Amino acid sequence: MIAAGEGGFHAPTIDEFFPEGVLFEGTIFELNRIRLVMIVMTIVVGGFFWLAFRKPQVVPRGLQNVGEVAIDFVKFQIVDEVIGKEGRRFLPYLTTLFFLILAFNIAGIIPPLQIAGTSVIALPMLLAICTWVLFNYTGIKEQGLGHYLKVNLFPSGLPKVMYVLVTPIEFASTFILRPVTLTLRLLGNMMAGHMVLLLFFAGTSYLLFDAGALLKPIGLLSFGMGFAFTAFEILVAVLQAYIFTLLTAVYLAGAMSAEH
Amino acid sequence: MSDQQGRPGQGDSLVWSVVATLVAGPAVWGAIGYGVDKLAGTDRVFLGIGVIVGFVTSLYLVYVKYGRG
Repeated sequence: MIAAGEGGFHAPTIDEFFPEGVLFEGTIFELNRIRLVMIVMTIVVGGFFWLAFRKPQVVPRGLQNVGEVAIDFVKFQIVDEVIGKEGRRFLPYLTTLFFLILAFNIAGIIPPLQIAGTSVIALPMLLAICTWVLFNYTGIKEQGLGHYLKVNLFPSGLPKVMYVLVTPIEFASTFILRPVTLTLRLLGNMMAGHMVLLLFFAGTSYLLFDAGALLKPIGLLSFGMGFAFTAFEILVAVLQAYIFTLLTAVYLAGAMSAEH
Repeated sequence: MSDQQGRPGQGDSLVWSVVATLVAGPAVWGAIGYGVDKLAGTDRVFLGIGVIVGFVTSLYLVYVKYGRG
């Protein structure tokens, strides 16, 4: 095994996600690299849409074109597909969700940020809570509390005695599993992606500069793998943003239709 | 898959609902079984029963909700 001594190989650890503060250390306003990433990417996303739609024109030009393509993607591919036209009122929330998560995710491969804002639990959890509150609020408003609970906890067409077994399962899958899986799926993907990239590039650095001559070619292999996984991380960043938004839309669709 | 009727439980959303139900069944009844084990002092007897009951119930639930079309 590779010894972790002076100038030796240091495998990345979970400490990666608890970087030291860079500003206001020791106060509740302490800023570390991950929080800076969140602030920077929020400004980037907000700034982009502000610039694109600052003076909207009927015939869009320049940045407004890009902005409209971005919004149309969420509008047609997610809202219309999953909820239908009546889901357009959720377009602002779903668009914000998609592009914010995408930006936080993609920060993981942008030098010098190089860590995803979504790779610590706070952000995925906060967004999952927003989604949870929104779909429950929508369900109760559209269907009434009693009917909403009845539809979600007591699926129709079962023998009465089966509800004893079924209702706890329905409760868990609708009200607990949904926010938890939204949070963990996004968090897990972004955390793992960061660790994989770090492992390959730390490995490359060790193999090329510190290890014996025989190991140096393997360093090149590790370098290549690091690049391959960087490309893969772009895919993961987009996919996870899409899945989070898609599932939010699915839950909203369920809350809106008064199905029996 | 286009779902212009807006009815949930079709297309992409169907897959997610089914998976959630299949996970929730063994998890919930397994947890209840685990609690019963703790109270009764038994060793993973009710946990096992709970997981199996939960899984069978999940399958039944998926059949009732999505399988009868």
